[in-house]
Amino acid sequence: MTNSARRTVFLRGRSGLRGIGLIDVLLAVVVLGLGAAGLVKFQSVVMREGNSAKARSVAVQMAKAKLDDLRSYSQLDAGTTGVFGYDELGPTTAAVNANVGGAEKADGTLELPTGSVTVGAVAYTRTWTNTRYYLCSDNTAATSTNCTPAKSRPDFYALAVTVAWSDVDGNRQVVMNDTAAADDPFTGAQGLASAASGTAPKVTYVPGEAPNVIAIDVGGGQKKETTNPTPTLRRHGNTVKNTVATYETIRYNASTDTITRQQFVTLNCSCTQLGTGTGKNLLGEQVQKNTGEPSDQFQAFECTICCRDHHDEPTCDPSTDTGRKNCFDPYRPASDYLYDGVTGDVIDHKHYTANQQLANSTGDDYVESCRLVRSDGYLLVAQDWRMLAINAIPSSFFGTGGVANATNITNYGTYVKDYVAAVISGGTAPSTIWSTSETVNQGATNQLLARGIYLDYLDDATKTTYSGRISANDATVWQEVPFYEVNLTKLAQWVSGNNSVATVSNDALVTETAGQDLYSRGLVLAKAAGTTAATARARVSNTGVINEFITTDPDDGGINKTSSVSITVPGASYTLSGSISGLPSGAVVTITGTGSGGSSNVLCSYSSGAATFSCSVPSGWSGVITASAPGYTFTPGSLALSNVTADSSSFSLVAAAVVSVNYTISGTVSPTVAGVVFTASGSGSNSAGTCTYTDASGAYSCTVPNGWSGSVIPALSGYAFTPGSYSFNNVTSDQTADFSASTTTSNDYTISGTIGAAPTLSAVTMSATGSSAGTCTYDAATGAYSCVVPSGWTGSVMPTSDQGIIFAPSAYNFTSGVSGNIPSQNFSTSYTMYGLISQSSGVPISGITITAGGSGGSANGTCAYDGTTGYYSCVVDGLWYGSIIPSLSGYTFSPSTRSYANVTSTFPSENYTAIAQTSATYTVTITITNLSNSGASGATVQSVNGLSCGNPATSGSGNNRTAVIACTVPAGWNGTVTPLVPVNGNQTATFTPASQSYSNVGINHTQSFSCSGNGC
Amino acid sequence: MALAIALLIVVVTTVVTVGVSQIGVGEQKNMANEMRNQEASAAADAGIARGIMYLSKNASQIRQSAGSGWMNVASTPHWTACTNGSTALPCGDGTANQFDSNWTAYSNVPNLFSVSDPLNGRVTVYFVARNGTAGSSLPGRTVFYILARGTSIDGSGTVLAKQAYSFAPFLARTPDAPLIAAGTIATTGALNVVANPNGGGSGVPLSSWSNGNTNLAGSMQTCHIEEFLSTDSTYSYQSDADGNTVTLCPACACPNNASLQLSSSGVEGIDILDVDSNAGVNPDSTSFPADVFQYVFGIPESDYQKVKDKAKLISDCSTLGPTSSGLYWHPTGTGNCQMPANINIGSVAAPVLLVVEDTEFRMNNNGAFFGLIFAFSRTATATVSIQGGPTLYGSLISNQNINLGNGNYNARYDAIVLENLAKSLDNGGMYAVPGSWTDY
Repeated sequence: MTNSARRTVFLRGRSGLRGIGLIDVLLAVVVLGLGAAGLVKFQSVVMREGNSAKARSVAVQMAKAKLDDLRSYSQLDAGTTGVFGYDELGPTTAAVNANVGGAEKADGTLELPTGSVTVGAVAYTRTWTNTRYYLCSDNTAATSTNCTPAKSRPDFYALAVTVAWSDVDGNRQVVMNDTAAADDPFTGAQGLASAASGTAPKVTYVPGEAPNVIAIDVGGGQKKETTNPTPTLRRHGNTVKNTVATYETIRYNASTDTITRQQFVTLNCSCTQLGTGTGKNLLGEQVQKNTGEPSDQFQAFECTICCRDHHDEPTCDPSTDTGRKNCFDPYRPASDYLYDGVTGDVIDHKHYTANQQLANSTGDDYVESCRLVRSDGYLLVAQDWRMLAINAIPSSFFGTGGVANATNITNYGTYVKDYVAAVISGGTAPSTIWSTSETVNQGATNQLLARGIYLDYLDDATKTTYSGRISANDATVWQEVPFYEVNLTKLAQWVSGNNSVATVSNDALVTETAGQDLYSRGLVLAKAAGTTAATARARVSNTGVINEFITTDPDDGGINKTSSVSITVPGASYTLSGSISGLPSGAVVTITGTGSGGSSNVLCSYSSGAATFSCSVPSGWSGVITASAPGYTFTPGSLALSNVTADSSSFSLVAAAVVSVNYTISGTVSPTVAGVVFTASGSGSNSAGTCTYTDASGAYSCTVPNGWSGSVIPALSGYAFTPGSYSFNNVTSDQTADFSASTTTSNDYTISGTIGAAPTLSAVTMSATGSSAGTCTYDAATGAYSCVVPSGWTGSVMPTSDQGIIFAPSAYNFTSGVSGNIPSQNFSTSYTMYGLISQSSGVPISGITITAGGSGGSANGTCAYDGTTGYYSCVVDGLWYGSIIPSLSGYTFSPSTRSYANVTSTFPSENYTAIAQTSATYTVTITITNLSNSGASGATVQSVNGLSCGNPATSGSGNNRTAVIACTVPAGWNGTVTPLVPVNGNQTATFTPASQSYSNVGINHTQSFSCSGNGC
Repeated sequence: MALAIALLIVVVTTVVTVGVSQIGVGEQKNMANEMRNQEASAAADAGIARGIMYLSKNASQIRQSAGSGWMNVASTPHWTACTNGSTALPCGDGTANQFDSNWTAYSNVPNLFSVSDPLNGRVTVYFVARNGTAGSSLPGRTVFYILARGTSIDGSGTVLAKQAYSFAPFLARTPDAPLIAAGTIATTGALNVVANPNGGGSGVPLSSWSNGNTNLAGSMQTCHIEEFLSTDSTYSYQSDADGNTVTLCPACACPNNASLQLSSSGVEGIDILDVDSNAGVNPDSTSFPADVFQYVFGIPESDYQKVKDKAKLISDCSTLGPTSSGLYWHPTGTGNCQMPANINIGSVAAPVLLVVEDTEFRMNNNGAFFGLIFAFSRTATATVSIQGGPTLYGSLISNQNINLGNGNYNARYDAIVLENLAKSLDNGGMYAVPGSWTDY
């Protein structure tokens, strides 16, 4: 309908149907009114429900906020004010706590407390409960009663938050539930922290000393060294069953903290083939392979491992570079393996008897040598040793007189690394850096060392990696390269090319422990003029380390490495002598003989009375003899000689005095001080100059000869001068030197001396105590100490050591005030050996005599023994050589003696076990006098356990006969000897004494008894 | 006509009003849904909170195959490996797979809600753990998911949430030596100590580490395990679930041969690290921890209660036995801690960490103790008294002195036992893996 048409209808009605229109309107009004009322009612319901929903939503949010708040504890313990802790959810022990807990404001009140909160004209009331729950044992339900024993806090709280409000429909509420668990927020922090925190122990390493142990720089401030190998001979009875060499390679950092220790045990064993069984491979894993066992029960226990495990298995493939990595001896020829006929895999390497016969069948005896390495406390058979080189080096190269030569040691370390690098990279080995020819005078000795360089097998890929790092100057690669520098001196075999020129010691191995030196090897002793070679020889593999020249493996057999030092022994000596004219009587002349062309310097002397000189030179000597005296020149200037082979006494020198020209050294002292004393002390052979000093002006003047060398020194008590002195060398003109003076409040003086003899003690504390404490220093390198004390000081200077060292004297005491430097206050050292001497039962024995007999020039030590405790002690000088021997009749001791060489420390626990000599017997001779014939022939001794008596030997006549009965008793016998004679009827025979008792018999005894009574 | 118009107006007005009111009704529905979701979400959170406590409490059961252990298929429930593609809870979320065969599940964790609890019946909790090998039901020790499905009060709203947890390390550090004391160590009995072969670094053996003097007296010696086991051949063996085996030898001792020992009475070898003016081979220790409690547990001694809270408190140590495992704490004021006679305590697989607070630890038997004994002197002196011939496989630590009296005692450092202790799930405490909470 269009708008115009609608308008037409309306107008028509309005003009034609007026009554109906009114009713129509009234009805419309009613309908509209009802409709409006209905809509208003509907709308109000809708609005009320909307408000209710909104209120409920607010309440849910409030409840949820409080639940989150109750779970927001930052710790389990109840917190301080402002800190919310889990325990605050249940401050009382009641099962349910209400309206407690939640985040706190700074004043401790809750951020979301209980009570009424008005949001959007609606008042909400918030309350909550926290209900305790406990988990008491495994797999059981949570309970609201506490466990036994009671837990300090529940495992969780069941939380229920109620938010209530009112509206036109009455009271409404929302309840929400959650849980707060005793899940420590701290644990989270702990768990996220590094699990490897905590302090690791640091074990400080005491580096070994040259020349036995040489530390090699392996980069990163670290060093690596191998301890001195100590051989142990394992015996059964008198038979040496095994030779065992033990040493460790230690790597340590600049602070000498130990980083790694590798312990190696190398030994030989006699084994028996067992066939297939379970053994360990190179990695320590249990595998099925050929095995063996020690061929008898007297082998070292390590042989169980060696015999069982030193058998190859299929992972070893001698034909490939990487396959060799899995072989016990990667250098063994491929022909020396047993192969599976079907698979071609390695079954084992071949084994041999000591006579080179194959021994590969079950039950066969064979010889084996193994290198064992310590891994996680176990000993594993490692790949065999492989020596790259052995070097014979004079011990003096690494230092002399107990002073290490640091430069040579460093250079030697570089040499070793260069050698290893050359092998890894295929380069040229470096040249030796030590003397390979030594001159040793007749009767003199020269210790040589044999040092081995070893390298474990590296496959080509590893070699390439190392090679690259070495050429890139990555010093830390040496921490990884498995090389070892081992002192083989006492394990290698030594021979001399000509024993009549010089011998080289090659003593049989004996068991040594660390620090002992019980046999000698490599010591050259010059015998007669000539030249020879001292050669060290060792096998490249395991047997080289244990001085064994039995061929255990084919590749081991032929390969010895040797190294020699040429030894020249000069011949007999000749005397070169002559006269010197033109010198005043008493002139001091120095004659020097300087060797050339390999000849050594020689000693010369001058006799001022006869004005003759003499030099003793070895046969073949070449060199120059020169005379010198201050103020004189000599013609000829020197005597040149070559290849001396005879005495010569025809030399003649003419001395001419140098025209004396004096020069003046002068200057002033400022400020001017009266009484200064100047000295011009000559150095060396220079004489002292003459000095004057003028108090008023402070000027001094010293006159010295031409060419003078020395020092000009002012001195005045209570004053110090700057400089303390002026030194001059070869004065050839007048010199000027000024000093400034200053007063010193007091003078300090130095008390000095030395402690012990070389080698010096490493740790001594010097103290100077008395009127004041002095300042002391001790130099471990020289053994010298000095203590600076003030003038007038009284007190004692005393060394102390925590190493059991005894000093003589114990202290130097200064009772009158020190007024000058006091040198030469020397202390000597002595050391104590002590320990327990006991029977195997542990019971000490009285009466033991213990002696410490010195040898090789060492004095006897002083020993004491305490029979009640069983402890003895012997005090010996430093560097003592000798033996300590306990003795007691009737006892032997184990060990019977202990030998010491070059004692430089105290030896505790040097224990002995006393063993009673059960086989020793002693004789107790009984003499009975005043006997009749029958009494004498029937005399006996009452039988006592342990007493064994013979028949009486009678002598004398009538009733004055004597019977002598010899009885034997065991050592240590205790008992009573009672004589008896045959007595008939009521006869009596008594003896004086009646009997004789003995205890702990250790010597022969005699005893007489006199018989009285008619039964005698 | 007017009526028609009025009706029309009423109809139009009604339609408009009803239409407008529908918006309000929809808003109410949303609010109701939101509330159900909040209820369900809170219920799921409660499930996770209780689940973590239950998992932590039952840690010793998690990998246990015997009795009520969760690896025992006779138990209900027990761990069951998830399968690839499984969509059912907990391996899936109902429609898609969430955890494949690299995971194992412990379904429908019981015992968390009592009948009276408003959440009872509204929460289901599951545990899901990474397993060691695909398809295995044995849970590893790394990550544990706790899944909880919460429903609203009317049951119409459901929320599924999960949170990953890990066990905090049980020990801050595997002990470095079989004997560790902050004070002195004195031995007088017949004691054999097997050193930790790598205590001070690779190959650097340690038998004792003390901040005072270790005085070796009596008939004692220390050695490596190889030499120790060489003195007798009566062995027995114990293994753990990971296949590591420890050789037990009650009759073994260190050899009576100086060259096979590390140290002996009066002779301090390289395995004795103590403080005694540099006596013996090693110079004095400079690295001893200032707080031994922290050295063991990783938290300062002042917070010792946190460890005690996690421990099983025992007033009678004789209740310990071969099946004991994890952290036990013998508190002060409950008399001496007397070990039971002639039975083992703990095992290689499940060792024991026993803290003896302020009292005496007494072991007078021929049994073995697997794990760590910590003599904890807090306010009084905790001492150690050992008689008979027991063997300790592990470590003995004191934050004061250790005086080992008469007895024929073997202290064997055993890395396998101590590592199993360090990895032990039992009472190590759990922590949420940050960022791992999700709902889906």
